[in-house]
Amino acid sequence: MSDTIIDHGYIPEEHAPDPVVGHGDPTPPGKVAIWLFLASEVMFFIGLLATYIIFRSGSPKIFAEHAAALSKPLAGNNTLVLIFSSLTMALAVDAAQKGSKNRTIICLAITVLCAFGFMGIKYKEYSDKFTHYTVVAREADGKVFVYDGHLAEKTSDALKLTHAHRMAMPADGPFNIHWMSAQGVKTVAAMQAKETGHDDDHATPTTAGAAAPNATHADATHADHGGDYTLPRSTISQAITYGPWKNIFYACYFATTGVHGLHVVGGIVALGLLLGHALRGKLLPAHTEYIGLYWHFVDLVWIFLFPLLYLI
Amino acid sequence: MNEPEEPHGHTEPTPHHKINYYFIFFSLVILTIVTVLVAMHRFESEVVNLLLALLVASIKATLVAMFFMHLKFEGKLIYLIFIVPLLLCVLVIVALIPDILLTDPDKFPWSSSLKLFNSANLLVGGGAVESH
Repeated sequence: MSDTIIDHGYIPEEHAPDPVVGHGDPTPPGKVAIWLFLASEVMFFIGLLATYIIFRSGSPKIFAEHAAALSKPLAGNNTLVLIFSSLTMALAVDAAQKGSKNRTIICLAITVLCAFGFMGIKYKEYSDKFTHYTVVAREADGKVFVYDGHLAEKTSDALKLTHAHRMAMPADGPFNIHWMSAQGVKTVAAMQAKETGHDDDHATPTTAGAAAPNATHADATHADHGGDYTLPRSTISQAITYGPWKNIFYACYFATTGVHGLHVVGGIVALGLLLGHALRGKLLPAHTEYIGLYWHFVDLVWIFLFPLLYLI
Repeated sequence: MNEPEEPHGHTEPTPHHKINYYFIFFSLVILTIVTVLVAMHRFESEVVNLLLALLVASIKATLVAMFFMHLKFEGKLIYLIFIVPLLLCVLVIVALIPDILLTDPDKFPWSSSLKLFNSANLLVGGGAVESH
């Protein structure tokens, strides 16, 4: 059994194997430090995930219904982007340790680009959510409808929704705008259409304020993409976007992915500093390895977040 | 000068561990596809869905940790630092299971929940609930 650092403490560098590329004992303090940091980060993220587990087991229907609305292709692409950036990071560490400046610069640059790509896709996901509205509005004849669609335009006196579905406000039972999803509105509208024979999702609105649904509605064979509605603000009683305030699922979703996104941004800053040094001619193999460890950890967290939030 | 200093000792080159990073990358891509395919085929039991998803995610995580993070080649100290939080994570989840089990069985979509709820409730000194 070899002597380990636990047995005899840290040996001064003059007697130790090259700590820059050293693996095994004695372990360089820098590596111990970054692993300790990662250990605390693991506990941080498991706290968030445990919260998600508790809330999910308490509100399984809300979680199942709203998770289905998240974009799996976008998140899947994000996963591949992050895994690829992990590859280029590992290659950058290897290049830095072998002293090849050009390879290090290229690999670090690609890693940073992938990180920006990840944040870009994340921005698209988030902005899709923040422009997705559920609105309760009353028509001139007093009938109240629930609309769910994306914001086409916001003027000082009206909200214009596109790809929107609508249903009549249910006459009985509790109505909570926070629990409605686009699929929910579609389903209830279909149910109401069957019961009353009047299809609110596809019918022409009775007042001049709301625009007629577009022509694709009439074609039952095509996928129902919803219609366009203009809702004067004076008729709107409730409106909510799909932000973290929407319901407990979105609170969990934005908390976990938001915190993970902040970690990616932190990684971008660190990688940028490394890249800056490399471009000025100074390779930092040990620092590159430690930041590499952090970056792989960020990838690891996403590997767990992706199936938990989007797939199951 | 504010340049960060690299640790300097004698520079006898140590043998670099030869890892084929591209092979690990392609394995991870395949496993990501597997993750999506597995999720598309939903099983009856939610627990099975969850465990399957976690299993594939754990395999991917092991690959990243072992090879990209060089854990395979590290010494005991690093293993200690990394194993402890892992055990604590498992502990956190296990500690939360009674909390999950003892929520209102009406809220569970799974048919076996009532039995689990009753067992857990009897354990903590409550009574059993008959099925609705």
